[in-house]
Amino acid sequence: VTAPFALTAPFTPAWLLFLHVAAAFLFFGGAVTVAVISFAAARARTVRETAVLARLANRVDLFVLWP
Amino acid sequence: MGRPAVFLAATLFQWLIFLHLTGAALFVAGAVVAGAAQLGALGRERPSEIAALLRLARYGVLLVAVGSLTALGFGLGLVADLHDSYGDGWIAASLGLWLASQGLGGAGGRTARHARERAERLAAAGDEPDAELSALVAHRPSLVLSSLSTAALVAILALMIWKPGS
Repeated sequence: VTAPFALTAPFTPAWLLFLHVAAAFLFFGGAVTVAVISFAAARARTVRETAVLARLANRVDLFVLWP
Repeated sequence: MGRPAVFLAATLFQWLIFLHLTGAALFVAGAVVAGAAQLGALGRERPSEIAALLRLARYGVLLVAVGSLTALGFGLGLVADLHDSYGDGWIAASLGLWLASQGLGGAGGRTARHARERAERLAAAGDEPDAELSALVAHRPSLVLSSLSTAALVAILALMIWKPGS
Protein backbone atom coordinates (compact mmCIF):
# COMPACT_ATOMS: atom_id res chain seq x y z
CA VAL A 1 0.00 0.00 0.00
CA THR A 2 2.77 2.41 0.95
CA ALA A 3 6.50 2.10 1.05
CA PRO A 4 8.60 2.12 3.07
CA PHE A 5 7.07 0.93 6.37
CA ALA A 6 5.18 3.76 8.03
CA LEU A 7 6.04 2.59 11.53
CA THR A 8 5.56 6.00 13.12
CA ALA A 9 1.98 6.46 11.91
CA PRO A 10 -0.16 3.82 13.61
CA PHE A 11 -3.48 4.96 12.13
CA THR A 12 -2.53 5.04 8.45
CA PRO A 13 -4.67 2.90 6.11
CA ALA A 14 -1.80 0.38 5.82
CA TRP A 15 -1.64 -0.10 9.57
CA LEU A 16 -5.41 -0.41 9.82
CA LEU A 17 -5.43 -3.00 7.00
CA PHE A 18 -2.57 -4.90 8.70
CA LEU A 19 -4.42 -5.00 12.02
CA HIS A 20 -7.74 -5.85 10.32
CA VAL A 21 -6.26 -8.80 8.39
CA ALA A 22 -4.21 -10.01 11.37
CA ALA A 23 -7.27 -9.90 13.63
CA ALA A 24 -9.41 -11.66 11.01
CA PHE A 25 -6.82 -14.43 10.66
CA LEU A 26 -6.58 -14.76 14.44
CA PHE A 27 -10.37 -14.88 14.77
CA PHE A 28 -10.60 -17.57 12.08
CA GLY A 29 -7.69 -19.46 13.71
CA GLY A 30 -9.39 -19.31 17.09
CA ALA A 31 -12.69 -20.56 15.64
CA VAL A 32 -10.97 -23.45 13.87
CA THR A 33 -9.03 -24.26 17.06
CA VAL A 34 -12.19 -24.39 19.18
CA ALA A 35 -13.81 -26.63 16.55
CA VAL A 36 -10.79 -28.97 16.44
CA ILE A 37 -10.55 -29.17 20.23
CA SER A 38 -14.29 -29.81 20.56
CA PHE A 39 -14.03 -32.56 17.94
CA ALA A 40 -11.12 -34.10 19.86
CA ALA A 41 -13.00 -33.76 23.17
CA ALA A 42 -15.96 -35.65 21.72
CA ARG A 43 -13.61 -38.50 20.76
CA ALA A 44 -11.55 -38.47 24.00
CA ARG A 45 -10.79 -41.81 25.63
CA THR A 46 -11.57 -40.79 29.21
CA VAL A 47 -13.68 -38.23 31.06
CA ARG A 48 -10.49 -36.61 32.37
CA GLU A 49 -9.20 -36.07 28.81
CA THR A 50 -12.57 -34.62 27.82
CA ALA A 51 -12.40 -32.20 30.75
CA VAL A 52 -8.83 -31.12 29.88
CA LEU A 53 -9.74 -30.51 26.23
CA ALA A 54 -12.99 -28.71 27.12
CA ARG A 55 -11.03 -26.42 29.47
CA LEU A 56 -8.56 -25.61 26.67
CA ALA A 57 -11.45 -24.88 24.28
CA ASN A 58 -12.90 -22.47 26.85
CA ARG A 59 -9.56 -20.70 27.23
CA VAL A 60 -9.10 -20.31 23.47
CA ASP A 61 -12.67 -19.02 23.26
CA LEU A 62 -12.01 -16.53 26.06
CA PHE A 63 -8.50 -15.32 25.16
CA VAL A 64 -8.39 -15.63 21.34
CA LEU A 65 -11.89 -15.72 19.89
CA TRP A 66 -13.67 -13.06 21.94
CA PRO A 67 -10.95 -10.38 21.94
CA MET B 1 -14.38 -8.87 -27.06
CA GLY B 2 -12.69 -6.41 -24.73
CA ARG B 3 -15.29 -6.51 -21.97
CA PRO B 4 -15.40 -10.33 -21.49
CA ALA B 5 -11.58 -10.37 -21.46
CA VAL B 6 -11.51 -7.71 -18.72
CA PHE B 7 -14.25 -9.55 -16.82
CA LEU B 8 -12.36 -12.85 -17.02
CA ALA B 9 -9.11 -11.21 -15.93
CA ALA B 10 -10.83 -9.60 -12.95
CA THR B 11 -12.46 -12.89 -12.04
CA LEU B 12 -9.15 -14.72 -12.22
CA PHE B 13 -7.51 -12.14 -9.95
CA GLN B 14 -10.41 -12.32 -7.51
CA TRP B 15 -10.26 -16.10 -7.43
CA LEU B 16 -6.50 -16.04 -6.93
CA ILE B 17 -6.68 -13.53 -4.07
CA PHE B 18 -9.62 -15.39 -2.46
CA LEU B 19 -7.78 -18.73 -2.53
CA HIS B 20 -4.49 -17.10 -1.48
CA LEU B 21 -6.17 -15.51 1.56
CA THR B 22 -8.05 -18.72 2.37
CA GLY B 23 -4.77 -20.64 2.33
CA ALA B 24 -3.13 -17.99 4.52
CA ALA B 25 -6.04 -18.16 6.98
CA LEU B 26 -5.72 -21.95 7.17
CA PHE B 27 -1.94 -21.55 7.65
CA VAL B 28 -2.55 -19.22 10.63
CA ALA B 29 -5.33 -21.49 11.95
CA GLY B 30 -2.93 -24.44 11.95
CA ALA B 31 -0.37 -22.37 13.84
CA VAL B 32 -3.02 -21.40 16.41
CA VAL B 33 -4.12 -25.03 16.86
CA ALA B 34 -0.52 -26.23 17.30
CA GLY B 35 0.30 -23.32 19.61
CA ALA B 36 -2.78 -23.89 21.77
CA ALA B 37 -1.90 -27.59 22.04
CA GLN B 38 1.70 -26.86 23.06
CA LEU B 39 0.79 -24.12 25.52
CA GLY B 40 -2.08 -26.19 26.94
CA ALA B 41 0.32 -29.05 27.67
CA LEU B 42 2.66 -26.76 29.64
CA GLY B 43 2.31 -27.33 33.36
CA ARG B 44 0.43 -30.62 32.95
CA GLU B 45 1.96 -33.65 34.64
CA ARG B 46 -0.29 -36.59 33.85
CA PRO B 47 0.92 -38.27 30.62
CA SER B 48 -2.61 -39.09 29.38
CA GLU B 49 -3.57 -35.40 29.56
CA ILE B 50 -0.37 -34.30 27.82
CA ALA B 51 -0.92 -36.92 25.11
CA ALA B 52 -4.52 -35.77 24.57
CA LEU B 53 -3.38 -32.16 24.20
CA LEU B 54 -0.39 -32.85 21.97
CA ARG B 55 -2.47 -35.07 19.69
CA LEU B 56 -4.25 -31.83 18.74
CA ALA B 57 -0.99 -30.54 17.28
CA ARG B 58 -1.27 -33.14 14.50
CA TYR B 59 -4.43 -31.41 13.24
CA GLY B 60 -2.52 -28.14 13.39
CA VAL B 61 0.33 -29.55 11.31
CA LEU B 62 -2.18 -30.81 8.72
CA LEU B 63 -3.80 -27.37 8.51
CA VAL B 64 -0.39 -25.68 8.24
CA ALA B 65 0.64 -28.02 5.42
CA VAL B 66 -2.58 -27.48 3.42
CA GLY B 67 -2.76 -23.75 4.16
CA SER B 68 0.88 -22.91 3.52
CA LEU B 69 0.99 -24.74 0.19
CA THR B 70 -2.33 -23.19 -0.89
CA ALA B 71 -1.15 -19.70 0.06
CA LEU B 72 2.17 -20.24 -1.71
CA GLY B 73 0.67 -21.69 -4.88
CA PHE B 74 -2.00 -19.04 -5.36
CA GLY B 75 0.44 -16.33 -4.23
CA LEU B 76 2.79 -17.33 -7.04
CA GLY B 77 -0.24 -17.29 -9.34
CA LEU B 78 -0.98 -13.72 -8.23
CA VAL B 79 2.60 -12.67 -8.98
CA ALA B 80 2.22 -14.02 -12.51
CA ASP B 81 -1.27 -12.54 -12.95
CA LEU B 82 -0.14 -9.09 -11.82
CA HIS B 83 3.05 -9.31 -13.92
CA ASP B 84 5.19 -8.74 -10.84
CA SER B 85 8.69 -10.19 -10.69
CA TYR B 86 9.59 -13.06 -8.42
CA GLY B 87 12.82 -11.14 -7.84
CA ASP B 88 11.08 -8.10 -6.31
CA GLY B 89 12.46 -7.53 -2.83
CA TRP B 90 9.20 -7.99 -0.92
CA ILE B 91 8.24 -11.11 -2.89
CA ALA B 92 11.67 -12.70 -2.50
CA ALA B 93 11.66 -11.81 1.21
CA SER B 94 8.17 -13.33 1.60
CA LEU B 95 9.28 -16.55 -0.06
CA GLY B 96 12.34 -16.65 2.21
CA LEU B 97 10.19 -16.07 5.28
CA TRP B 98 7.73 -18.77 4.11
CA LEU B 99 10.64 -21.23 3.96
CA ALA B 100 11.93 -20.01 7.34
CA SER B 101 8.51 -20.43 8.97
CA GLN B 102 8.28 -23.99 7.65
CA GLY B 103 11.77 -24.87 8.86
CA LEU B 104 11.41 -23.21 12.26
CA GLY B 105 7.95 -24.69 12.84
CA GLY B 106 9.15 -28.15 11.85
CA ALA B 107 12.18 -27.92 14.13
CA GLY B 108 10.11 -26.57 17.01
CA GLY B 109 7.45 -29.24 16.58
CA ARG B 110 9.91 -32.13 16.62
CA THR B 111 10.25 -32.03 20.43
CA ALA B 112 6.47 -31.88 20.81
CA ARG B 113 6.20 -35.01 18.67
CA HIS B 114 8.75 -36.81 20.89
CA ALA B 115 6.83 -35.61 23.96
CA ARG B 116 3.54 -36.94 22.55
CA GLU B 117 5.06 -40.33 21.76
CA ARG B 118 6.57 -40.57 25.24
CA ALA B 119 3.33 -39.41 26.87
CA GLU B 120 1.34 -42.07 25.02
CA ARG B 121 3.79 -44.79 26.13
CA LEU B 122 3.66 -43.56 29.75
CA ALA B 123 -0.14 -43.25 29.68
CA ALA B 124 -0.39 -46.89 28.67
CA ALA B 125 2.03 -47.91 31.42
CA GLY B 126 0.45 -46.51 34.58
CA ASP B 127 -0.02 -42.82 33.69
CA GLU B 128 2.47 -41.63 36.32
CA PRO B 129 4.15 -38.18 36.06
CA ASP B 130 7.61 -38.25 34.49
CA ALA B 131 10.37 -35.65 34.81
CA GLU B 132 11.73 -36.27 31.32
CA LEU B 133 8.27 -35.80 29.81
CA SER B 134 7.81 -32.52 31.69
CA ALA B 135 11.21 -31.37 30.40
CA LEU B 136 10.24 -32.23 26.81
CA VAL B 137 6.93 -30.34 27.09
CA ALA B 138 8.66 -27.26 28.53
CA HIS B 139 11.70 -27.47 26.20
CA ARG B 140 12.50 -23.77 25.85
CA PRO B 141 14.49 -23.86 22.55
CA SER B 142 11.56 -25.61 20.84
CA LEU B 143 9.11 -23.05 22.17
CA VAL B 144 11.43 -20.28 20.92
CA LEU B 145 11.63 -21.88 17.46
CA SER B 146 7.83 -22.15 17.29
CA SER B 147 7.51 -18.51 18.36
CA LEU B 148 10.01 -17.46 15.66
CA SER B 149 7.95 -19.39 13.11
CA THR B 150 4.89 -17.38 14.16
CA ALA B 151 6.93 -14.16 13.97
CA ALA B 152 7.87 -15.08 10.38
CA LEU B 153 4.15 -15.35 9.57
CA VAL B 154 3.51 -11.88 10.99
CA ALA B 155 6.45 -10.54 8.96
CA ILE B 156 5.02 -12.11 5.78
CA LEU B 157 1.69 -10.39 6.46
CA ALA B 158 3.50 -7.06 6.95
CA LEU B 159 5.30 -7.52 3.62
CA MET B 160 1.98 -8.31 1.90
CA ILE B 161 0.44 -5.08 3.24
CA TRP B 162 3.31 -2.61 2.80
CA LYS B 163 5.08 -4.20 -0.19
CA PRO B 164 8.30 -2.28 0.54
CA GLY B 165 10.23 -1.41 -2.61
CA SER B 166 7.33 -1.99 -5.01
